[in-house]
Amino acid sequence: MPIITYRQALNDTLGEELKRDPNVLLMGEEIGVFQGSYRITEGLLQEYGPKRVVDTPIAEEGFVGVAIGAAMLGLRPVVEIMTINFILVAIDQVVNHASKIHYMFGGQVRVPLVIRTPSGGTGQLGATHSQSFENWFAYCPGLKVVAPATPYDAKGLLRAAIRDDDPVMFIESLALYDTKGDVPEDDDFVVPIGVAEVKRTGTDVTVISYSRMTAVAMQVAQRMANEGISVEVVDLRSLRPLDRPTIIASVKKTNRAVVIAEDWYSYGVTAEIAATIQEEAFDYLDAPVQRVAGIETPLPYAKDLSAASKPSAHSLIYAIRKVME
Amino acid sequence: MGEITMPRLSDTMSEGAVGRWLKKPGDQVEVGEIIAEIETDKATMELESFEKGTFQKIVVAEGQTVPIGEVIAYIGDGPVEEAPVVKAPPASAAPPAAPAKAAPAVAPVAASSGGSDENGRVLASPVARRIASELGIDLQLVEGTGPGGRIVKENVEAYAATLTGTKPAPVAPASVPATPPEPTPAPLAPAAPPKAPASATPMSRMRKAIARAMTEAKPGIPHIYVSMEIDMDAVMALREQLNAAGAAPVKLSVNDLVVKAVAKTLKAMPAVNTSFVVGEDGQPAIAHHAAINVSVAVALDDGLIAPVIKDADTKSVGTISAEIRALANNAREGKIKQNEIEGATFQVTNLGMFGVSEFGSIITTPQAASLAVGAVRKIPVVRDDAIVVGQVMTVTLSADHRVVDGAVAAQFLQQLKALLETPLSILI
Repeated sequence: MPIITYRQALNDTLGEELKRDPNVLLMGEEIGVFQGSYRITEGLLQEYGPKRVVDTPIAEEGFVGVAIGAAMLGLRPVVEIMTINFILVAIDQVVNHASKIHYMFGGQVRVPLVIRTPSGGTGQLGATHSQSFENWFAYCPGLKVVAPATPYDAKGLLRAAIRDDDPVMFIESLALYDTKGDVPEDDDFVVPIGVAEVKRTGTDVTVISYSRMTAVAMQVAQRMANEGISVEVVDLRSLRPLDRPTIIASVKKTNRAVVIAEDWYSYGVTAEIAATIQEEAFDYLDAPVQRVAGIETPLPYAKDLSAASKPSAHSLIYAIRKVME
Repeated sequence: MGEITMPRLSDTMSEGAVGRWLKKPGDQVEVGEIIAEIETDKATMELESFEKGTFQKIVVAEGQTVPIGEVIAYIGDGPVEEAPVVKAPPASAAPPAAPAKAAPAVAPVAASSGGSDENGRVLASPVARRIASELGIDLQLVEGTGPGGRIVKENVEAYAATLTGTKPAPVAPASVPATPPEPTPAPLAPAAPPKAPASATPMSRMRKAIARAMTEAKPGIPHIYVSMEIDMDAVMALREQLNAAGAAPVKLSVNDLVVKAVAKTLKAMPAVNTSFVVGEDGQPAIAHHAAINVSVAVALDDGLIAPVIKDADTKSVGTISAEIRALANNAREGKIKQNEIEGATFQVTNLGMFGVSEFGSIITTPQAASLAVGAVRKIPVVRDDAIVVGQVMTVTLSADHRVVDGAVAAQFLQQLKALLETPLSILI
């Protein structure tokens, strides 16, 4: 299998899907002439033209609404939101329209829409450009939310999302774009939505994570192995539907769990996972479930403070040691 | 320094548990003052001090069981001589705390070092609790190495390994439920009971006592069962009159009248108020009891107990009724005294309140018979060649055939029937 970057996997997949299905089109700010703020759509305008790769004004509510209408009429739009922070002005379109149209119109129309957007804090982008909102969407029935951690999953899940007939939030991470990994050349492989993966098997403690935190968990697992602690890493890959059976099977095996996510601690993804574990694996726990999440503050701009506010390898190691006491 | 030992509080008692200490080291104790509550297999009793002095040291902690005669505390003159210590439970001991729980059939190696909170609850992780329960391990005996002394899975497994000398099989994971052992085929002859599966729960002290008594009685006593229907119209009418008139301090139940009738019948039929015994010469013999002591089975949450109405033949229905109520209440509150459950010569068990029409009961040794009483039912009966609605109760006498023959049992029921069908004679 070729080894490519996460960015390349996304770029390849968008190109392949544009080629495979004439109903697929891309929309977003700076994705065409500028080639994409993060170069995810590089080269696609030249190859597929302005009808298939559409540069939009800075008006998220407007073009997300346009994409929903296009999807209802049979196209399969893939919208890029520059970062998840900017989707807030379009959240009414996503939550009140895209997620509910199939239901409220009695199944007459579907909304095969994909919204791609990077989430989380990377670099010194300040408090309003560094947030993690995927849990807001995972909270909403009618939406699907996926968050791949590797180039392989990025490709397989983006394919699955574009081919899915329901609206899918596709969560990326700026910090993952340059990471590399094996990606098969097979044109038809998909990663099913709603299926988690045990990325690393272990016997002492389960770390549950997704997106960039899975990359962190994999590094930490390696390091803990040197200390004699065997860490199993469950990569959620999808937040909705949530693959509870995979989480529970792993925790029943290791008897200890640490959940890590970049969003804020209270009411966040880690709370949902921890609640699931105590509901379904209570009699298998050897210690209280530990949660590692963002400090509850607007993210500071100062580099040291910013790093101290976000979950990290350091805080994950601390939590693993605590759960292993 | 004087020794306080586990007292013998009943003839059948071989061991006892300290339920609660009412004195602590340093307390002044007078002769006759209650210093502890002792639990036997059936009752909780108060332990009085035979000495005056300063309570020195507790040797046996609350909840621990020791054989009679074992030192449980010291009393002496002057101030406390040394810090109170609690010794590790001996091999036969039940765990501290939860006196209702039985000790597992394992040899404890050491008392728990920490691992409990200020209320005495053992700190253990959920998985440690589950595995301990499956393996029948008492967590009180396991040393916890987790935060604050919490017992974790590893500790339970390590403890289990010390018992068997081997590492326990890994606990079945996740979705695969632990496979129960192959069921043992029912033995043709009485034999050792089947080996306990991991999921077996320990018996309470009372449950054990019941199991022992029933096992002793059923294969030991050749039971015969004789049943009879009794027309209860007159009893029901009499009871209504008595209750309407407020004749007794509490409302009389049918069972109160049955117990009184049974006592009068026993008086008339001394052959039933007997016991099969073995004489000093080793030959079987029949013991005739002068007193007529009727016990009444009372259901409890976890078992049953049978308080005794002593000299029931000499007591009025009202007295019997009040005594049964008071004793049953004491039994339910665990306050019944040993002498209130001893000395019965005959037992009455009534399941009528559950709608049971008839059943047979097991005789309690050393009694010769017991009466199982069903519900009073309205059914069609033939009276003066006409079918009318009658109120009928079926009773079944279980009798020890070694001392009571079928004909005697039948005569007993005839007499009982005659009494209950002309119930005014019960009141005399």
